[in-house]
Amino acid sequence: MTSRRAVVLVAWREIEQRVRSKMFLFSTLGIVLIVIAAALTPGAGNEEHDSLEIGLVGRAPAELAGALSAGAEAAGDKLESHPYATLAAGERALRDGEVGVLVVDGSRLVWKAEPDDRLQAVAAGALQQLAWRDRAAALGLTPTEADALLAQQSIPERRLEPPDSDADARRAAALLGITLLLLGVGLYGGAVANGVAQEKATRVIEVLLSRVTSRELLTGKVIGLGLVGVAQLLLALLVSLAAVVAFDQVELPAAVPSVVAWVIVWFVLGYAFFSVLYAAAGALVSRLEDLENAKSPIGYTLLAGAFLAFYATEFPDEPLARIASFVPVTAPFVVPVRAAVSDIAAWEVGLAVAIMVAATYAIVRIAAGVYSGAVLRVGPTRLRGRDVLRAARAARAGGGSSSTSA
Amino acid sequence: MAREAASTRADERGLELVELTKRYGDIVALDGLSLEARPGRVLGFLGPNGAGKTTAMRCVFGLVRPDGGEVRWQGRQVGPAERRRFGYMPEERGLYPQMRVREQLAYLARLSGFEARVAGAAVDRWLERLGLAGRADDKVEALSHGNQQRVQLAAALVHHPDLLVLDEPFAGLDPLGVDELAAVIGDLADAGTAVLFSSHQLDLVQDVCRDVVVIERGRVVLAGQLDALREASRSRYLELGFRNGVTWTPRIEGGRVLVVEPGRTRLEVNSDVDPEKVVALAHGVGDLTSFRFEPPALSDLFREAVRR
Repeated sequence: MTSRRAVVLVAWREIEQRVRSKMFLFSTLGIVLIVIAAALTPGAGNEEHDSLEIGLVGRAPAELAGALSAGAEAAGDKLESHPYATLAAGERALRDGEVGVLVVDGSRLVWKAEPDDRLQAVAAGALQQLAWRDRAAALGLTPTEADALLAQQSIPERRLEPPDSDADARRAAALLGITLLLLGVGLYGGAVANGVAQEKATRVIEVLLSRVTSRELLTGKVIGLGLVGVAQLLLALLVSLAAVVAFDQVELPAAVPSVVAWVIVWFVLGYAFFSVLYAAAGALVSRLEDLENAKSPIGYTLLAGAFLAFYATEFPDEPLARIASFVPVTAPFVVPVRAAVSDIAAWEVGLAVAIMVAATYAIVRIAAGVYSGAVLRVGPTRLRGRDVLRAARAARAGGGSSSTSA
Repeated sequence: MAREAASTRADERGLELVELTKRYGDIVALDGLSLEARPGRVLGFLGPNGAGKTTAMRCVFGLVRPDGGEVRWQGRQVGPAERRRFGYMPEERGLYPQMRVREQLAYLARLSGFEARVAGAAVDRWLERLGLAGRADDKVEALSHGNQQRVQLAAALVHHPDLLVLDEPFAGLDPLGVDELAAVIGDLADAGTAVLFSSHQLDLVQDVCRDVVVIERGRVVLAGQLDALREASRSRYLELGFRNGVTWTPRIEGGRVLVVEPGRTRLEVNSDVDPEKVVALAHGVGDLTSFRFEPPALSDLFREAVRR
């Protein structure tokens, strides 16, 4: 039997067992829900602003309504005003959220708690207008003169670059991408660790390694679970996109296909890197209870990568984000984000991928050595990776006669 | 249980461990261990706890890399290709608890090189033979301890191995399970399989094996055909029964009194002692009801060999 056939058999078992499990169903549903929720969250797509709801109480100058709607119009918002007979009624409406702000006697504003920026600008601006008008009258100007003084001056402006109507959507897609990467690598890397630790704890490992080499077993497991991971990500993304489009909630930003493609590419790279680390962690424990402890340093590393990626959504071209693109543990998160929200240079992507591939090759060699050295060793506590590596190296250097290499 | 079919194959070379050494720090697990398990024969692999039996078996499957020495199959050094023709039942039993019985065995058979259809047929045959046909679609964790043991055995056998290595296969089996396993081992040897198994149940080994190897501290201290070893021993065991609870403590040159109680006397004597003379002496003491003069049992040989 060729080595490849052993790898395929091991991978196929992982796929079968995984896809059949309830975990798979629930995690797919979970990812679909996250994606749909993210797509429907305000700020994610080209959401429409609600109209501004303003409550009016007490005596108000006749010009107030005009000033309010002029201000709203200038800001591109629609305005609805609701008159209330008493302050108490107005405050009740404010508390219940029927209106966002209460204008009292044409001179004071009442908020529920935090002022809303858009309402603040429109309402305060309108009151300011009225105040200026009063002061102009006090200075002896006629209404016509006051109008001329207070007339809106249109200020000429120009833009060096065309406006980016897609920016918000691309940032949202990038955030979603980070979440999916973190989820995918953590979930499937963790599954590798669990599988390895379980094979060791149940001792089925001896039955397996009497038939295939540890390298074949590890390769098959990593590939099998990785394929399930890619399939699940794709499935979840397609189902979610279909749902979003079917419900006609948002228009699909043009950036989405490329973001999806990058997420998949970097999932593969990140998963390859982290899954063998997870396999080594799984091989180092003798009891399943110790597994979470062994996995946690990898989990924190993933989180650090994700945090840097969140940073990169806001500051994609700052030095920190650029450096993080060339660091293997953070690159899988940071590079796709930068590709989504800014114009990352092709050479940067190429270099990042090259560094990632080289680092993955190195880590596969080291972690696979730890795995092979540790997976058959059962101790009372966690084995230390360093000791295992030393033992594995010594064994290789010693050139034992019944070597496992084909 | 003599296995006559074996003799036709006795000349074929099977598994050879040649001068295996293995140290774990200061502990010497294997100290130049050599043994041979031939096709068509059942070799009992004996030794006190910690003598190195499991380490030696693991070396056969590459699970332990020896510091020195060689593992050979039919004269060639063993590699992955040879190992796929071996079957192993480790001391630490282990299967995927969540996998169904048939599925799991078919998977293992395929890992050993069987095509899917051949694997399926082999699995069904072994499940039938081991009385597990009704549990084929159950998860392993749902089976009783005894049935899990049967599945573990099937896992070692399902790919028709040329060499079967069983580490303590009888441990934890009820008497029916023991008979069943002994019959399976016998049939496989008849069919030409080389079988090597370790056990602490020496009376069982005596029934199942023709050849034994006893090791102690990683070294062979006794090896050969069981009958020849028993005959070659310098010890014989004498047991006499008397009517009316007669108590007799004989004095025989080179003899050692093992048991004296009313109506029964047991002695260890040199093999050159003439039993007729002992009988004559006994007649002078009382009426004999029984008399046995026999070579040592395997358990006696074992104690002699590993006496520290």
